[in-house]
Amino acid sequence: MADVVLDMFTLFGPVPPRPGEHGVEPLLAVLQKHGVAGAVTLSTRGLYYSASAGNRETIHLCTQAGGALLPACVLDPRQPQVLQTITGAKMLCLLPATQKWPMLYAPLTDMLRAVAQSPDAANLPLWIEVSRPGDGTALAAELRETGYSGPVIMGSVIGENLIEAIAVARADNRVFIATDGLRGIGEIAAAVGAIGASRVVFASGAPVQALGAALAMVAAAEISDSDREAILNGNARRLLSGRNATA
Amino acid sequence: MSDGRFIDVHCGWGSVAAAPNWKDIPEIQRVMAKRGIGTVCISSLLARKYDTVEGNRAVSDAVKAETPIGGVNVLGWIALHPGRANDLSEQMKRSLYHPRLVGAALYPDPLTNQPLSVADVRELLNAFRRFTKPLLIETRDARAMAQCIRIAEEFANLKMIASGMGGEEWRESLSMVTRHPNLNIDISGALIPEKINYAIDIMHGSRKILFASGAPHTDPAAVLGMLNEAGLSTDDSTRILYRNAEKLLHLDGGAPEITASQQAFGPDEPATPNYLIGNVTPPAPVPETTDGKRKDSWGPSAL
Repeated sequence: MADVVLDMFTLFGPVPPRPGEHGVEPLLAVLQKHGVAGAVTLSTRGLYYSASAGNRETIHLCTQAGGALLPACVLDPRQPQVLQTITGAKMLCLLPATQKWPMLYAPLTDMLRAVAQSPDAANLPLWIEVSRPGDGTALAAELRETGYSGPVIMGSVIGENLIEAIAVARADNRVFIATDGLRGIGEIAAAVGAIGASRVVFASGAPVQALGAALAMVAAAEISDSDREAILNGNARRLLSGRNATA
Repeated sequence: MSDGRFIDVHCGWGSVAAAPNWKDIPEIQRVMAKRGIGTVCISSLLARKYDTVEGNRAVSDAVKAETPIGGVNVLGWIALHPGRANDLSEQMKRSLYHPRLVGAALYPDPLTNQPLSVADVRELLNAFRRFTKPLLIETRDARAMAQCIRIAEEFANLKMIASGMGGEEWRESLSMVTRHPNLNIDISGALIPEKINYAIDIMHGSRKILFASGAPHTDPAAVLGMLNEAGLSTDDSTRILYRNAEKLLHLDGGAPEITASQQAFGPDEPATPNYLIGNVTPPAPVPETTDGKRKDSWGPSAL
């Protein structure tokens, strides 16, 4: 396993309707337990309630966390004013399945055009949840339509949609696949075999999803140690630094 | 911790896109051995999705012919569907007396994806119960768990496993299972460590909780990683990982009771006690803990 692991997708805060601890302490505890050095994270408030309020909370708490947490801001196309709250973000996130809006969606097209023209946002990695069949294909169409040119990470890709995600990534070399949804036998190795380890990044969805399970999947994947290192650390570092982000 | 004793009570058998060799028993054994799993119970993906009888025949032949490789024992489930009731009654007679076939399994209808109801399966389960083996029901969501509960109520003498814990609806699903003494659950489904502790709490202990992965759709490594993250005591961990399954599936040397009706029905093949199969060994004493919370590591570092 890599000496330093970076997790490209985590959350903090309660998941409604259940009670839960506000703040980043539960996330920091689970990262520490597994020896994960750093994580990109966002507030569940931004996901389930108000993107603007959640983004402000994310940036504030990540600033206080001493470097272990990097802020991701939620882009909710139903709330276009959210673009005013992304200054300081290291990654932008679109979560259509969780927020229950369609991927082929005129407000999303408008928002991606605005992001592409924003000096604060145009080259940030863009995380897009593509857990539903067809979302990856629609994503490719949106990227062509809007001219968004930064790196794109397809997150929450589940096994039955992996073929679609691979087809999208093969056609566009700035598209990455995250490991958070890949839980089946051979799925990480299949992604690496299809698009190369340089475009697969580690992500967990912790602490709601088990970070230990996500790490175990990468450890168990039948790939080379150098590929494992790239997935767990090198690719995320490259994406977050903004240097040579596309493979 | 493992010593190859973990028992994965529910996996699929058949090719999938990312694991095209999952149809080969030696490949399953290789993967399971690498994860510390000593016994795996498989059912045919062909039987679940397309041809119940042909898939069952293939899995039955495969597990009867299997020899342990890497110390991994492969046992089988016979899938049931009311659309093939007559054929399946005959198939149960031919297969289920064999000790390598651990029981029968119900899956959602392959065309509608709806869980089977007690009315759908009453006739089949009346034929099945004479074998005194467990019934596994896949419960991908709370609706499937509700149907499973109705079956557990009507067939109260049948030992059952609700597999999948209701998926993402694990909390709602677990709230239904507490009052049914014949119902066990496995921990496949959502990879959320919180659900394990919740299940132990709501079921008043870990005695009816089993380890399963649902491979090849979920890698057992991920489920082991989730279990590790739940931070259980050694006693709870060993119960979930193998001790409960040893008892339920009679892998601990305890033979199932043969009833008068079963004797009359008669096996058509000589039965071998499960404890004489392959590498299945009597359980070792569970290490004592001083604080009841000693934790073991079978997570990523153990792989």
